[in-house]
This record gives sequence, C-alpha cells and structure tokens, in this order.
Amino acid sequence: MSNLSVLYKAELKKIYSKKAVWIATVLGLFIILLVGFTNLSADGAKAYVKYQEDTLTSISGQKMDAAFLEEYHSRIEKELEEHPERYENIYANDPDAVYMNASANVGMDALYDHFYNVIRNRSEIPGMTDEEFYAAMRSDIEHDGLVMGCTQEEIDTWLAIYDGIEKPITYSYALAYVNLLDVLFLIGWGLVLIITIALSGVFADEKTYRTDALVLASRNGRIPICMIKIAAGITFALLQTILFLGVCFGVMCAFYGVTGWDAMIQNVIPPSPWNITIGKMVLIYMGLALLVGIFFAVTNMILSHLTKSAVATTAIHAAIVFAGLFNVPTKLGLVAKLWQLRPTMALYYGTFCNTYMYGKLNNIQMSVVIYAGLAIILTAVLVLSYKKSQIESR
Amino acid sequence: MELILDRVTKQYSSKIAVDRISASLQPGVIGLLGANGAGKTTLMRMICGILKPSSGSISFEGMDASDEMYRDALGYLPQDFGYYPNFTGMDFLMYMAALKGIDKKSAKNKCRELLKTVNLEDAANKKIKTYSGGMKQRLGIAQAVLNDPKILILDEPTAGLDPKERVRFRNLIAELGKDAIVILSTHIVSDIEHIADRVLMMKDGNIIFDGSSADIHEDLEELYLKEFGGMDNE
Repeated sequence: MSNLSVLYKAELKKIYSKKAVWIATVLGLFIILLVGFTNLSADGAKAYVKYQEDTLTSISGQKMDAAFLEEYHSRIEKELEEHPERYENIYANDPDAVYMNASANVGMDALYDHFYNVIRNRSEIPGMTDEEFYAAMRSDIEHDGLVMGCTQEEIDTWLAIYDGIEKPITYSYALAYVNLLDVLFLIGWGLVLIITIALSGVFADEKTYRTDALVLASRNGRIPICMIKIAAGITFALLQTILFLGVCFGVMCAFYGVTGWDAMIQNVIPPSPWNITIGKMVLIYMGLALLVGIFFAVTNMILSHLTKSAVATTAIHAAIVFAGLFNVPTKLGLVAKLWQLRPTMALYYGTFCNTYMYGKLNNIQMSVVIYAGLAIILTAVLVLSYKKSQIESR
Repeated sequence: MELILDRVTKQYSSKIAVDRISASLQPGVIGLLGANGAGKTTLMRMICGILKPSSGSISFEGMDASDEMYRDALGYLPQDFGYYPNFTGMDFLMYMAALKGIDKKSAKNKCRELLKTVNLEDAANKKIKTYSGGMKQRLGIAQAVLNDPKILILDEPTAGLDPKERVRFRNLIAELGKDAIVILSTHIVSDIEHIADRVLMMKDGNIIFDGSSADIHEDLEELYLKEFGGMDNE
C-alpha cells in the first residue's frame, strides 16, 4: 500500500508541477475576485450595497402577499412624489423605466428585478397584485416548457410541483446567491478549461517524456498505475471545483451576507418550479459540479491515453465544449432533450428551470445517472485499454 | 533460472522485424550486437513485455512476459531513456521503486545506495532537467537495477558515459551477471567483448551468431565488421 501512496503523490505532483495549471488557477481566482469586487469598485457602490442590504433585510421574512406588494408600491409612489425632478427626463424618454429607477433609489432594485423576471413586462409592474404575480409565475413555467418543446404531460408534472409550493412565498434578501448564480456559468467554463489544461497530459506526457516504456515494464505499470493516475486526475478535478466554488461562494457571502439559505429557490430563480430552498439548490449545484468535474477528468484522461498527445486532447475537448455553445432544435425531440444535459448547461443555473422529464427522472436526476454512468464506463474502458498498451516504434 | 524465447516473431504488415527467434538464456551477461534495423530493440521490447509478439512466446520460470510477476523480475533501461524533468533524481528513483512494488522504507535505503553507486549522491536532490547526458544515463542505470532484477535488459546503456564511467559500469554489469540474466545491446564491441559470457548477433530479424567470445576464432570486432561492413552501427 505504501508504494501506491508514493505513486499517487507523484502523479499529483506531475499534474501540479505544470506552470499552465498554476497560471490558469490564479487567473480563474482573479476573475472570481474581480467579479466580486466589480460592484464595489465604483464610487459609492459599497455604500449602496449596504443601503440595499438594510432596505431588503428590513422586509426579509415577510410573505410576498397583497400587503407586501402594497408596501412596495407605496414606497415607490412616495419616492416619485418626493423627488419628481429625478424622473423628469426618464418620463419623457422611457416611461416604463421610471419604476425601475425609483426602485433603485429606494434600495429595492433587486426586488424590482425579481418581479420583472416573473412579469417580463415593465409596464405591468406598477400596480401588480400578488395574484397576478403568482399567476405570471405559473404561466412562465408553462410558457418556458412550451418553448423548450416539452410535452403537456411534462409541463403538468412541473406545474403540479409548483402548485405544491406553499404560497405566498416568503421573501428573503438573498443577493449573495443571486450574484453566485450569475457567475456559475463562468466558473463552469473556467473549470472545464483548467481540468483540460491539467489532465490532457496525464497519459500523453508519458510518451512525450519517453517514460512509457519504463512504466509499462514495471510490476505496477499496468492496472495499478492506471487506476492511480485516474484517482489523481479525479482528485485534481474535485479539489479545483471545490476551490473555485468555495472561493466564489465565500466572496459573495462576504459582500452580501449569507441570509437566504433557508428561503425558497423562487427568491433567486423566480420562474423555477422546484420546491426546494436556496441552500438545497446550492448543495445540489455543488454536487452536480463535482460530478461533472469527475466526468471531465475521465474524458480528458481517456483522450490523453488514446491520442497520446496533450495538444490533440485539448483541441478535441475544446471542439466538444465549443459545440456546447449551440442549441439543438427542439423538433429533434430526444436529441434536444439530451443536449440540454450537456456539461456547460448542467453547470448553468437554468438547469433549475428545465422542465424536461426523462421517464420518471427530472433533468438533474438524469444528469447524475448519465455523468456517473459515463464516468464509470469510460474509466473501465480506459483501464482495459491501458492494460493492453504496447510500445511500438518511436 | 532460464529465460526461454520460443519462435518469437514480430511482423509489421509486410515487414518481419524479428523472425522466429528461439533461445534459452541463463544467468550471465549476454551481448546483443546488430546494425540499425536488425531487430534488437524490437526483441528487447518483447522480452520486457511491452510489445506483444505476433507469434511465439517468451517465458521465465513458467511466467509469461505479460504476467505481473514476470515484470517483477525485470529491470529495463531503454535506448531512449525518459525521465520527468521536474522530478529530482531521488524523487524519480522513489517513483520507479514504487512502480516496481518496493515498499517505501526499503526503497529509500536502496535509492540512496544506488545513487552512491552511480556517483549521483551529490545531485540526488537536484531536478533531472539540470543533469548532463551522462548523469541522466547513470540515473537510468540506477532505476534499472532498483529491484535487484533477475532479468536485466540494457539497450545501449553506455551512451553518454565518459571512459571512466564506462569502465565502472562494465564492472557493475559483470557483477550483476553473476546472479541475473543480463542482456546488453550495444554498438561498441569493446563494451561486451570482455564481460559477455555469450554473444548474440542479429541481422534482418534473425540471429546469425550465437556463441561465446571463446567460440570466435577471430577478433569479435572483426567478425562484426565482416557481417555488417558498410552498414551503420546501432
């Protein structure tokens, strides 16, 4: 066992001794911090964050019912009455933007955004009632499902889940999580990039450094070293995912506080039909990100073994990830449904608005089955293929 | 202790690199001579179990060359010895020891001892990328004998060594040949003529001479030049 631990540490050392890995990690963390600090870099921004936090915290914990909306409207009306000069130009140029600007001035722009994401029409926000708000939320779920090409049965399944949510929903200040969701997509891409840079050479570098013959001719040079390389690669992917998500989560909570963990997901993703809290959403997301990280690690390593080239592995991965930028037309049915589970989509918060059903499984349950299944199958293929490795002519 | 090659053949599409070679090898130093393309490296790779023969078999004490325990008895220094540039000499030997299944504690002592033997004690904690060609070759020799192999395969082991190191290396090989089957491929006839108990000469995938230096009624180098005259040596 002790010699296997030496091999495991050595394989990790090989991965971490690449300069490109450190550069990409530092750059990734820098971008996370930059995004976190952006709001505070402008003059007065820090003061505004505090003002908004105080305002929204004061209404946090209230049910989003008729009284809550009346309170919101009355605050905006009061602002418009007391400071008409602030809105003269806006009235003239874009009357629908008045409410939005007034919301910002009373420290409630996050609440305005929340309403807008449900109503999706600025002119309907002034005077909006709680009944209209929840009806719009239900309608959004139905509409989004139809746009995605979901069957009525699928939509009905999610509407039933939505109907099961206790209403009125309790409002909670949750800006840390709203901002966290905004950067998750970026983090997902960053992780894909770093995992590819780090692991594309796990097997290919043995040929590059001409150490493959030495390794394969040794007692532990077949299945044991292959398993250890895979374990080291997966360890790297998991550590990197935890580092990026942890730093991002820490930065957002440091700026906006941790309030909102126990609030309903609709506080941060208003049209989501999921009946879970924000905290549960964060945990599900993190679990999914770790699983996708493992999947990416394994696909990188199998490509590294098959192509025997770190450059080719990176290029193939980049092409696959690039293809993920495009959508498949919904008329393609099952293909479009499966395409919605691609890694870059799984690491996007829209995954909590996906109303496809895969048999009895929802998209996240299906993602777990697919990514875990593929990771296991590809690992087995890699081990069996590596076991048969030969050193042909150089 | 016997390494048996039974009609070992390697064929690449229309070219036969090694053609039905059979031999029984006992402990001692076996010199393998041959020109470029003679099939020496292909044969050595097959003996190491890293290249599967198209037909025929290689076995040692009942174990096939593809067996894990066969590899446990093996030490190998390839012609194009590779290394991890960011590892120190000590790191590299510890890694190789772990690959060979040697436990950590024994490995540390063995690595220190071998670094001393190959005169790399002072450079043990320096990164291999800073080593000279000769130092790298000595490190390669050290890793090959880490597990006290019963079969030691050395492909052009003296490349890059200075004359003093060459003599030192020859003595080391002669010593190892007392208890192990040492197969040494070289284009420098003098490397093997005084230490090889047996000489195998290869040409076009076949063994054209198999005997001891004493069996040759002329100088080994002259015989070599007669067989491969006008051809580039490997």
